[in-house]
Amino acid sequence: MTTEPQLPMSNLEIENFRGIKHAKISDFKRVNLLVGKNNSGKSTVLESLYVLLSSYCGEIECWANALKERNPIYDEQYWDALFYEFDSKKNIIRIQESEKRRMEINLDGSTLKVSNTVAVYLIDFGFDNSKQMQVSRHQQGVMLQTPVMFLSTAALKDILNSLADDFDKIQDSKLISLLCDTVRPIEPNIRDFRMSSKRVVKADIASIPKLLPVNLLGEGMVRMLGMVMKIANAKDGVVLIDEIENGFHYSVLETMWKTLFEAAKKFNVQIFATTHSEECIEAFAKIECDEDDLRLFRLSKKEDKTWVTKYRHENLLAAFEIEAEVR
Amino acid sequence: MPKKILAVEGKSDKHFFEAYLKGLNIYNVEIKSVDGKDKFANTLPELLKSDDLLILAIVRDADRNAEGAFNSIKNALEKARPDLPFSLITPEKPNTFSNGMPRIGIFIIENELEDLCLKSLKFPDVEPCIEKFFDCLPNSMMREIKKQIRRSCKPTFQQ
Repeated sequence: MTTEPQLPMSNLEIENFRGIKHAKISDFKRVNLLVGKNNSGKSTVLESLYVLLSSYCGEIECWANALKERNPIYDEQYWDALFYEFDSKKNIIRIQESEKRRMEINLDGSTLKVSNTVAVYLIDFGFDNSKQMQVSRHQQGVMLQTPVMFLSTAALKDILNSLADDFDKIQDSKLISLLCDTVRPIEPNIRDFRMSSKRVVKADIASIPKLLPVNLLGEGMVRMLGMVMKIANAKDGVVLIDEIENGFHYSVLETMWKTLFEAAKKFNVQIFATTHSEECIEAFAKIECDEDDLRLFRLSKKEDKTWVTKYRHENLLAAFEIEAEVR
Repeated sequence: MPKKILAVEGKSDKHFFEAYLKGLNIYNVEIKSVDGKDKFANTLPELLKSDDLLILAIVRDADRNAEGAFNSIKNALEKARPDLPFSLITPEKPNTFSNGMPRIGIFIIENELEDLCLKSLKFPDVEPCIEKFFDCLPNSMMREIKKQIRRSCKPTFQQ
């Protein structure tokens, strides 16, 4: 008998981060879907996971640079948006999975100090034109290598832009044939993927005599491929996907979930996704699985508290039958 | 908007309570039919998770075992406890609301809803007359009435 592989995240506790004063979520499964109204904190949960895990991979730069991309102009209140009630003086951000994996973020003058149990990062706004934040790292212990990938509500062009890099990594890890197996339910004729000398990722489709650049495969397929590639590159780690239904026709959502779930199992990845779409939730409810591998969490705000309601996958269809409002 | 939900056993109970509440000029209660008393166990935990739930009332027939009916509803509600963001307070006895938030009431009807309707009539001796009325009807007419009752229990688009 094989033992269940341990998932990277089982709990999360967040304090004073963005719109969340305090939130505690437990019992994460392999695939976790977060729902809730606007501003209920879904994306903040994804960002918390991202910051926590990347701080333990020694790769906090990606988060810092994403912040600068979102808001490229520095002023004195620059960091305040990270803190609950925009109060960087009173509040310290705390994010933790367990005693072993926890971090704090606080503001020291104009420097953002991010510290976990093995390292301290000092992040300053970069005033040069490199578009990069200046990050210095002081490591005191051994990093825990849990890869983490974040797919924000990405425009199609962002997915296409990173496709070649993602492909490179998958090729290096000899995972191309596994990638083909994973996307075959969507495109049954797929035989192989190749990269041209001009770094264009091309698909070998049985019925077509020439290799086809994947961007010609249609938006749904490109998005799907983008997601699966992130999953392949996060082997044994975590993938975060904001507004997962983006760009998919409702009729393919069931196939999308099935593919993602299979990919998550194949590459031993834990997935966290958010959605606003009822059809997407219903498709999630219809994923066939024997084990207790999927869970839905609804976040809602009651005064200053964040409430987390758990829906077990095996009961989700019953909830839909009685038209209980899940979203 | 805070929600008030009334969960009932079947479609006919739903139709009855819709008409009854309308008669009382009550319009802010959502009535949910679980479609069979064996489905309470799976659906009540999900209803309890409704966002902004203020009141959840459950109406169930006793079926000759009022205590058993009450306990089976209570157990179904308790199943949701670990998944809820609030501390669940279920009622200790039937036919009252608990004091928690949301307030929860389990209402057990002696025998069946139909008996309660008959009992509520102003003239208690009316039942033999109703029996007599049905006995008096020719068989063909009785069949037609039964058919109509069945139809009334189906959603409108099937009529």
